[in-house]
Amino acid sequence: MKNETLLYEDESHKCVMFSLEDEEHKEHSLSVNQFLIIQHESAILIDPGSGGIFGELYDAVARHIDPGKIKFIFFSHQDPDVAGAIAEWSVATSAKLIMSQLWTRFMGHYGLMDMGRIIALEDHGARIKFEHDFLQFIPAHFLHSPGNFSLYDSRSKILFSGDIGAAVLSPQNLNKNVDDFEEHRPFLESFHGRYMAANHFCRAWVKCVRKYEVAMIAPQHGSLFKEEMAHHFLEWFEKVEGGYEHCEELYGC
Amino acid sequence: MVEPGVLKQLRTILQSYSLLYVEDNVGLNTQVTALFKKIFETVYTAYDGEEGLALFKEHHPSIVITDIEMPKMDGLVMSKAIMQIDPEVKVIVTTAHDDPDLLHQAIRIGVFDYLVKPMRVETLAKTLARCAHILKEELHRKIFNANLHSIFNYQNSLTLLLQGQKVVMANQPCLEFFGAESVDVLRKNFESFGSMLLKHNSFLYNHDGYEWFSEITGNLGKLFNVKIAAADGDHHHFILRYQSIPDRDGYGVLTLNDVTELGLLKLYDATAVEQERLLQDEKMVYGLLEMAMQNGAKIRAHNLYKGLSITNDALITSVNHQEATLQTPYVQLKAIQFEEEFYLTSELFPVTILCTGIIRIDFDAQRVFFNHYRMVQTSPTRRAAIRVTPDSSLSATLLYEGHKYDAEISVMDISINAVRLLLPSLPAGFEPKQSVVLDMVFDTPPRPTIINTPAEVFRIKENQRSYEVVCRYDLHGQAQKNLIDYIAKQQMVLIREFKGMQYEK
Repeated sequence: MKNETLLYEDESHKCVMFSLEDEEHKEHSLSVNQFLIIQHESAILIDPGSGGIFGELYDAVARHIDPGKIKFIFFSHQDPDVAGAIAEWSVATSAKLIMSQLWTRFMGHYGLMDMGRIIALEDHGARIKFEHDFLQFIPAHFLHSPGNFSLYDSRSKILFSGDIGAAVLSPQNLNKNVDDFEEHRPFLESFHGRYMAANHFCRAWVKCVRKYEVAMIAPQHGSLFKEEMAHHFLEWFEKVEGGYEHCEELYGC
Repeated sequence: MVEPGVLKQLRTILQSYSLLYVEDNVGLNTQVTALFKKIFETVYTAYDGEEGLALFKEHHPSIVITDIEMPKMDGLVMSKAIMQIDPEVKVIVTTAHDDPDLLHQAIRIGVFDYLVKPMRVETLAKTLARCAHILKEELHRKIFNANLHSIFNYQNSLTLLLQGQKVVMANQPCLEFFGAESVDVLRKNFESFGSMLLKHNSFLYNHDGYEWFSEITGNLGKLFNVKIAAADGDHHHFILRYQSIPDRDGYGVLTLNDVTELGLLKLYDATAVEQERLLQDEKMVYGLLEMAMQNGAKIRAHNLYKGLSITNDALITSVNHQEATLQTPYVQLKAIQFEEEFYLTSELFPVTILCTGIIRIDFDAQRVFFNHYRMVQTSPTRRAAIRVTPDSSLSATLLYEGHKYDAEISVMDISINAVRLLLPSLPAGFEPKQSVVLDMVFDTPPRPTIINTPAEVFRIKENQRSYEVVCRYDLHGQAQKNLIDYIAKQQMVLIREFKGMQYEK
């Protein structure tokens, strides 16, 4: 499986997906993805993963842009496979670190005490404008993390959805593309049924996402949903039942 | 027969309102009026529409209960006339006929309720209770709006409600400042508000592709310094804040808080020589702190613990000539306690402020009290790269002009692109911009890590018995990764050490 995929490119804008996994994840076939958006001479790195892949990802990024030019690093949520290498990235770059305001006070545990490096997102999200384009941080709270965001890139029309859309062990993860939604669906179901908080949040997220024209959904684990598949996914996700709907089964008492 | 409990309850909620009751049946009128007088403090009675309308014009009661079919003027015509005078009055119509046409007419007029005679006491009681609830809600809203209006008009800051860039409303001080007789006049002037923002260093004004409205809408809640000429020509220094109104696309509130009296304008636009003089001026710093406090500006407190940058949000909660108070989280207060000083930065400040003279720290109230402050042009808050004090596992060797520097070198701090060394003496001819070779050995298990790199002498500082030498380098590949890994780990060690201090008194 190749570990680098060009998702979008025009004269001034580029989106790249890296699929680097540390040893622990390889055993579980979690299929982890990291993303880089380059606009002119600056870049934003998305969910750069754990310390175990820092060196490899640093080199992979450097093949596209000087890592010193990374302006922002976005952490969709606080999990170690997303934010575990905060200390390394904060030393290696002078980028501002973007995350939910819910997690800023825990950053000391990841090796960062300088809140001046952090841009804390309020619950409703935020927008970073550049010329005619923008990056929109879309609320994805409780899907699964209570302080969680997806990121929409208006230029490429890619939605970087974090854990939403993750599929574990799906054969379609091998080529990183969902070609047959029905075949992929059981692998989505096993993950989302356990990790999402409730259908109410799933619907709220889809409502927010539908404000934007989405050409591709790129999750942090698993495969890409392009065009028609992205629409299939949104339709399916709206109906996903989560922990709230299965509370009795989960607690068993 | 009405239960006394129900009557008492209705009286409690309705007695402060007045009622007009219109009914042409004299017997019924007398009987029902007697009942209403047990509920309402004031009841006006009329026997036809004309009389009812006249009484309404005279007394403006809050509630009207009227029959429909009456001589001279029927109840619906009267109700329509009354509601044209006061759309908020609650009109309840009663009729002996359950006639859909009459019901539709009543709905069109906008009556509060429609009751079929003979009126059941329970139904009437429920309608009146609902009526009282709504009247109370409306009263609360009126009080709220009236007070909001007075806050809007009598606060010192200029306040405008905008839809896009268009002025919807403006308060009285705003009209006075711009010399506008009405909001209409201001609306026209405001179309070119961007050109009213005068050029001033680091202030918000239209220049080089910066457009004021894009800046404020792209940075909601951020505070901006602006300079505007008043109607009399005087230049005023304002703090501008823009907040969008939730769920009302395009609407926002713009406030301009006048801080001219603090005399800070010259500080932002001073020449280098003037600024040097102004930096010594404690009154200026006092003004900056006062401005931050007045505007609730979010500022940042910075400290260093062995090179580890500790930064948190902070608020100035009081400033007077004896002391100033800063509110900041516990972690920052611990760092302040350790360093006995701290730096303050803000987008509103032209320079960094160094605060010393710590009087006391109140950890419970999350406050530090201090009485010395000055502006500084260089500060550790501007460090681009993370710099840490290394542990004893790091040693360094210096090669200069092909020769090893023999005396003992200690490493003061290290970052991804520079290292600060402490040398007891300098080799002959050693000066900035010269090339050296650095050997840095990290005593890491299972085997040491060695970084060997060319470097440039960047700065030399002479101390009493030693020299501080900063060398800059540009690492690549594995050497760069190794150093990142070391600094990240050392940062973690320092964080643990610092957090350990938090449990000490």
